[in-house]
Amino acid sequence: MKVLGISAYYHDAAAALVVNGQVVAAAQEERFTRKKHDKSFPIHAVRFCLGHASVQARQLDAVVFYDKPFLKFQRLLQTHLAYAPRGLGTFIDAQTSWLSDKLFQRRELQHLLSKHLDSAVQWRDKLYFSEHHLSHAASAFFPSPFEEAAILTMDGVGEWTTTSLAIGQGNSIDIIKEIHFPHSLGLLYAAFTAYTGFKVNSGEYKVMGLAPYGTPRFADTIRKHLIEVADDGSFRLDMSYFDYCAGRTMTNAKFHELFGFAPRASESPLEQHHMDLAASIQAIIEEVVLKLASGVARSTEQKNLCLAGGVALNCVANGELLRAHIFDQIWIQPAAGDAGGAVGAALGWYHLHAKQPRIVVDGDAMRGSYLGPEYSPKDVQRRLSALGAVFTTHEVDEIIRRTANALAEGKAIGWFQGRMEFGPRALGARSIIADARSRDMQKVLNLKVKYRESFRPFAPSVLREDVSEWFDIDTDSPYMLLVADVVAARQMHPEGSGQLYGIDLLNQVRSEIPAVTHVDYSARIQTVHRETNPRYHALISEFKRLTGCPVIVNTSFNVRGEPIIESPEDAFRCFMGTEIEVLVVENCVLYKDEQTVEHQRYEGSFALD
Amino acid sequence: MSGPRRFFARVLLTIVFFLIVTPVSLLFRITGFDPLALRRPKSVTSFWSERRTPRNQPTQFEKLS
Repeated sequence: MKVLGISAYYHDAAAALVVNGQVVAAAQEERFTRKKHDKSFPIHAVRFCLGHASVQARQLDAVVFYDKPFLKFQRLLQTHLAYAPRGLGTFIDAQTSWLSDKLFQRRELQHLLSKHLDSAVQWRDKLYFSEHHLSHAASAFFPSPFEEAAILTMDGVGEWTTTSLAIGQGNSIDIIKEIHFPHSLGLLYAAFTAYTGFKVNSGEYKVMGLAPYGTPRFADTIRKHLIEVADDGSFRLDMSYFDYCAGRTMTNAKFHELFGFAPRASESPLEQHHMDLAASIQAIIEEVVLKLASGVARSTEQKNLCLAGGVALNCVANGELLRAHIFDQIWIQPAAGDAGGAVGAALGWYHLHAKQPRIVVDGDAMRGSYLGPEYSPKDVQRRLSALGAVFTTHEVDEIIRRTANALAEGKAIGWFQGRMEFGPRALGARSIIADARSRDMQKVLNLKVKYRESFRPFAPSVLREDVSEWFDIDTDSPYMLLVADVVAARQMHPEGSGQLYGIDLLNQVRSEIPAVTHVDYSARIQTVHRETNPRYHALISEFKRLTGCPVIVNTSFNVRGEPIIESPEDAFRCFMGTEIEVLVVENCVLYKDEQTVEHQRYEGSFALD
Repeated sequence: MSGPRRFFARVLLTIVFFLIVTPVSLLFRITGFDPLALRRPKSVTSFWSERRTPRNQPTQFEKLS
């Protein structure tokens, strides 16, 4: 059976192909169109998925859309009914957009499938619609290594649901309880993201990164006024402080008065109170997630927990959840955001509608999330030559040796190998890598390579077998979704650091691997496994042989505002436009100082995120 | 949508908003119907709500709602 899952029209459009219960291909549309968070119908991603598996469009048994458009429309309508006569502007905007296309989504999807794929197919008979949170739940449970588990999904909002609890058993998922719009952890975090001057739906990561620079001195205010949390972790928001239902902003004047600051204008200087606000909302999210999880454990008596939905990308909260030992094991869908809805929609239909059995896979069934396009060495050479790139080709061992040497010499390296990652993180297939022991690497990478804010931390890739010698964790974290501290023995406590606050903390060396040690000694860990990414594993092993250190910096291969690179062409363009010194694409090695084509300045070619 | 059509749609929607949406909204308020749970419920111990629609119907993937 061949099932295509599609997520589109809100953010992060994506496609995923499931063949006989296995996710064989998945990709986000932004990687192909080079438009960050592209939400348009993911035709490029669909073509890639079908092409990769050599599946003809007419062979598909089902095309499953990841949410239910009518339910969403109903929610918008009821929201305006609850708020009128306020909200005329957003009412008009929403209705014109819905009346012109979204309301006719079945027809629109049939039309697009006919136009782009195969006009002879009766798409109406093959088109199905999952529910937003059922898609998330399916993406969290079906690929997980558990026969049975509790499933908690948390995000901004789907149709009505913002939080759901389900039980997964074998090939079934049973949704038990829900929390509905506008009461939402995702939207609460988004409100603080907007208030601290970042972009909603992409700046949440920055708030999380900013939090360790501050103290949570506003947490009590949030508890007292904004969110009420029941003993079982369920919650409601006091909507009189928010404007996202019927207005054009997330927060309102009452909210701003409560904290005593005007919202930060985007790109204006970050001050201590912004960091304190970030620390406060982060503390609240951790508190609520832990309480929710405890409630779920009590009411379901399950031993395992699966997570998905945008809030599950909060890896700091996930790390706390892991250490709280509320559940024996936790598995988090790597594409926890809406892109992952494509995987969930397809798997959900396959198991729940077609009633096909599920085979539980050791580790998990996401294959390291390396589900995207790949390029053969020959193809890479042809493409690089066409661009005028100067490169040499080598056997794998020599590629590993050269790259490890360049890492040890402190060079920033573009690393492009195998199939592209599915989900928001680069995991060693489309990554920029560097020496984690270097004192100034964080600054160099932020300012000269990625052109992004200097406060933002970098994540380590570490050999799975060595992880507990360097970090306070001993479980798999292949998707960078868990945060843990650098082990105490490797921490350094610079003199006088107790007197420093906020951004002044940034330039201090606080461990043997300062480039990946955040100001609170935490790190967002990716464990590297020989089984899923043998080449990346070999590279870090070689680096360890040279230096004794099995940890390197891994950041996504892109600049600020740009989607992660997909093709060798994207890689070369980013390499030439930034201060990346070495580029390794499959078996080709390129050195910046040997290139003869002119440098194209890259900074500023993408809208800031 | 093109310029004039867009303008026409906006005028029509404004009329709908004040003639239909707003009166219904006031009716909601009078009758105490609160679809967004904006008012705090009295003495509740949980903000979870039980799943309303029947679970795992065979048709659940066929409908848009």
